[in-house]
Amino acid sequence: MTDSRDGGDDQADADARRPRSVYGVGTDPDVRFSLANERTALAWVRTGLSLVAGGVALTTLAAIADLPWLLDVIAVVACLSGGALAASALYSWRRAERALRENRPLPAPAALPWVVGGVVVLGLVLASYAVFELVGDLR
Amino acid sequence: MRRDPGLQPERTALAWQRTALSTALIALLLAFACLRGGFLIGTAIAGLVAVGAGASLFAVRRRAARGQKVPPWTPLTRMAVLLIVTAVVGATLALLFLF
Repeated sequence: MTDSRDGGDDQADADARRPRSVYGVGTDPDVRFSLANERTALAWVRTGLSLVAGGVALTTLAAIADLPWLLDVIAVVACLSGGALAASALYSWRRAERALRENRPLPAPAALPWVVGGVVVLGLVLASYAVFELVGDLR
Repeated sequence: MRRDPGLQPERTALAWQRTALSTALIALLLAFACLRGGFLIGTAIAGLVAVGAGASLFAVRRRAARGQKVPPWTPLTRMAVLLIVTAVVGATLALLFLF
């Protein structure tokens, strides 16, 4: 059904698409669904990139000003979790694309609770650190 | 690919371009941070990543323009060129300060 409405020039080599673990199963879904899945993965990649950017910016700042060690730790964690988020974007793209091809319900977003939890923990840690510093200054 | 009301292929191409542009930007940031810290291997790797992201930005742009039959020299391309020129100037300046 989708082969006839594709109308493009790339349907002859449809079998050569990689990865085979995704394109080897099921049938092609609506093109728009695949494209939306791709955009979701790219949005996750950009989220990971901004985490890496925050880590790099924090490291640069720590090299210029003499910042406490806590910020270095946060920079390392931000860079590593940004990379992990990019990897998880690829993983969840494959999972969602396979579910689309096999006409199954979409899996729940696996990375979302981790990202939310990380942001909450980061906010709490930084807020308590700021309070700690404030109390130390006042005393 | 046929045009559809949601402009899906265009939106996907734009998402790719956004991602490539921010990858290039962050790789340049990292390259300068490594240069500052004297970690020259890191500078080389981050510079290569930045060049690769810039090249893929242009590749995506050209492919999308061919699909939509519009000229590829759009504001985004101009912005990317501006970014790359600024990066080259900044890298030259940094190298001048370093040696």
